[in-house]
Amino acid sequence: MPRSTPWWISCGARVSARTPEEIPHQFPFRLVERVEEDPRGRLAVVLSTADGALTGTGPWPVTLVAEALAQAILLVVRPSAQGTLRLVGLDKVTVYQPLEPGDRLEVEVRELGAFGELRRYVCRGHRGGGLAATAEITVSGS
Amino acid sequence: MRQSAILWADKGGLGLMGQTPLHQKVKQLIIERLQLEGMAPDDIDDAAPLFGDGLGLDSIDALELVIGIEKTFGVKIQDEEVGAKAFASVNALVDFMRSKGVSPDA
Repeated sequence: MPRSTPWWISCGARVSARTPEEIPHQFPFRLVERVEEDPRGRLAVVLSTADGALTGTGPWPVTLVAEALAQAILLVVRPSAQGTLRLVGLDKVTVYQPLEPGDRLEVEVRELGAFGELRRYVCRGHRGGGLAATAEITVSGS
Repeated sequence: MRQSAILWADKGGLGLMGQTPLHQKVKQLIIERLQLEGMAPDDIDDAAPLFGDGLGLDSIDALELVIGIEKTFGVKIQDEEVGAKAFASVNALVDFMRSKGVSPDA
């Protein structure tokens, strides 16, 4: 099947150089604390501890995991210079492993389709070599 | 079913009411992708608009259909202009897919 978009969006060195500050959310709602190098070229993010306040508080509820995945794709899928992207949908959110503040998550993003200003991505987070969480994320904007 | 097949042959490929198997598959896809519970393919008027006054679909539904059509039939709807024509009705969507090489017997 011909596709105009890459199957998996590349997350190479350009992405690993990103910083969490590029996510528009502010403390304490920014759920990505750090962006790390990943030898496989995935986007590797560390889940927020809110400056240590959340350390040891246990696994995140599925809503926070989904929000973290949605914020993480903003490091891969960028709005245009003057544009903004708004989250308009979260579907098929599944958490396979408990994820806690400070956990390192390796994220893959694939575009499922686009129509007008709407785009849908599937985001898969891996931890410790296994799948940790997935979600389909729909954004609007340019 | 037998009568339907005879009529199809008589009309150069079109069955009863001008429907092809592709019409049924498209309507089944619409129902399944958009989770239109309690609706059957025959409940959807082939000529009625999919958006607005017809089925009342919205832009999120359009994206869902774009993804479903590409996944199921390998047909890509490139942009809103193409989509506006293709999503005018089930008949328009079937015509669009046939223009992209999808068999009416698909």
